Amino acid sequence: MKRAAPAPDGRTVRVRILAVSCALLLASFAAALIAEAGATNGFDVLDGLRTLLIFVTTGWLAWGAMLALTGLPHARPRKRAQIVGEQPPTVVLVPICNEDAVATFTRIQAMRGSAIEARLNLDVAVLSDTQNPDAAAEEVAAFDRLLSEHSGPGKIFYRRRTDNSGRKAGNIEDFIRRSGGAYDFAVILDADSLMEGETLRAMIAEMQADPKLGLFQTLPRIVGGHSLFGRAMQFAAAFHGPIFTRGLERMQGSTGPFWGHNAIVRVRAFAESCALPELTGKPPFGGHILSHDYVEAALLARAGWSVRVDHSLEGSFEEGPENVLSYAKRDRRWCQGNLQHIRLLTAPGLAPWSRFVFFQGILSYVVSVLWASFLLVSISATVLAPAPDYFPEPNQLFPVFPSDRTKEITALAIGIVGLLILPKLAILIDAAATGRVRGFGGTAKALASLVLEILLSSLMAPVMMMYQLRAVIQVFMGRDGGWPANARGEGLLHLGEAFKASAWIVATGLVGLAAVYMLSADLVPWLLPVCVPMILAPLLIAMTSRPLTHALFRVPDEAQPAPVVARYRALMRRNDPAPHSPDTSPPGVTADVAA
Amino acid sequence: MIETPDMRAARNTDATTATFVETDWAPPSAPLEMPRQMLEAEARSSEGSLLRLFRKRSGA
Repeated sequence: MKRAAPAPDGRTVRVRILAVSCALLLASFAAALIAEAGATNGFDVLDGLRTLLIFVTTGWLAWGAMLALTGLPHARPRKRAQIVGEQPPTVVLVPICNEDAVATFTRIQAMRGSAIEARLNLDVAVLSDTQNPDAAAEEVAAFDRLLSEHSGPGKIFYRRRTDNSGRKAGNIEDFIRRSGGAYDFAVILDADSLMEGETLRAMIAEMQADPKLGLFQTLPRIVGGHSLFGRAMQFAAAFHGPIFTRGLERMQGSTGPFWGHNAIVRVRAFAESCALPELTGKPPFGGHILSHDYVEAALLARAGWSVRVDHSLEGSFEEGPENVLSYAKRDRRWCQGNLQHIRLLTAPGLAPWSRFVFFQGILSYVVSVLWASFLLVSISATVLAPAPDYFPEPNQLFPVFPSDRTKEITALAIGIVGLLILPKLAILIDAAATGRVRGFGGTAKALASLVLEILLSSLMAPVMMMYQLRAVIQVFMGRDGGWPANARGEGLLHLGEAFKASAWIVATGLVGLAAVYMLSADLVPWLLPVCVPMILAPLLIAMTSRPLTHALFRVPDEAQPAPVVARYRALMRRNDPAPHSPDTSPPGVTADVAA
Repeated sequence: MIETPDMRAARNTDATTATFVETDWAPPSAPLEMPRQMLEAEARSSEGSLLRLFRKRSGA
């Protein structure tokens, strides 16, 4: 049944208008400051370009801040739906591709145990796209072990495709085409997903209670971080994530997001709306749609189904990258996928908000190019500025000094930093007021973690910008990044490895700083916050990959792991007692921190 | 656990060559139609000139 995309309610529209207006206002203010400073020596093309670039980049930062501020006001706790009558037939889909088989099947084992305790009758289908024969053999062995210990309701299936058409989206589509008719709902997971049985129960109940709901997305919390980088990300996701997601919930209404996993779909809605086409031409812009989840959410909304995210439903977990290089590798794939959405921006029938979500995804990567361009244009504008004319009138007695705009530019820089920091401080104040901060070690420890996280992310920002910049350029030059296997649990990097992966960033930083010094030495202090982290990139990458043997970046799941996480870790100790398994505590990590 | 031929077949479900076998450990045979969504033609018309230029230059 074809229906119109769900219209946003009045509240959602008001929130959107307010957030967009505030972001545009702040961007305009920043642009006006830059334009005024540029006009000191006559407003030229470079000043115009610089004004435009600061408008977009500040607008992007302001938009992020608005998302957090929108999420700050507390919502009344929602009454959770309950399953009525017999539980609708539901399958848990676990698409995998060259993953750690023991860890993947152990997670399934933990989730099944939790689901049985929650009185659920679920089937689990492991959908393998693994190409490596050794990895496939390990999957079969792990599957056999799982079957040998299988008891209780529900069945477990394992199937492997040798034709990986459509990648992850095609893998799920293949299952739905063959077996989708047997199920009302499908929970879609990643290999590193963990979900409590009670959470799965609540998700099924939400779907049953709202027949217009096509997809229900949970907010997965990152668990299992050991390195400085991994634990900083884990802290940020746990501390800021719920607030940002609540803002997203209010902003997106019933045109919510799909993040590809830890979500439940109505199988018939998904089947009728979400068979993705292969785009014409070769990758990166043609071929399979890589960031398929965004498109699937947009297609569900196009067909009239509502898509909701719920930040408050606990018991949904995933793992994160443990170092900068793993993060950059994943980001390269996401970058290509999001830029591919340029081709879908004007596809007919999509809800306006779905297009806006595509636009945001594209901008999230293009913004690195814009920041780099702003730096280059600003340097050029300063270097090429005409020498000041102190006596513009003939026979002038007293010199006219050009007005000094340093204060305004400094205010702009502080304002931009403020857009990054203030929402985080507001989240800290909120967490302290509500007692949420207790799970993070108390106010003092949470503040220390927050300050370190801000410092670390500021230091890493230029390095991340360079990796994103390279990814965007590669995509626009037609280089396909493919679909590399996820680097889960990859940890420690040596300085040599880090240097090999970032030598080009070091060289760019050195050359950039030397060039600016020769052209205009006055500009050097302004560029140090960007160039110094670039020059120190190998050190930063290697150091942040080391295990963090400190109680900083504490998150609630460390002090008191969720039952399904604890169950998984206990099973892992039995199934894979290898000392360097990513899910056993690394040497030196205190029990307090590693839990 | 002893592996049965049915279980082996259930694992080897290559989309092009293998078939699903109805056993306890094979997914149920319950086909569902999944009409391919039309985005491609629309995408072609939405492709900007800048993108076309890049694609032409890169041969993508």
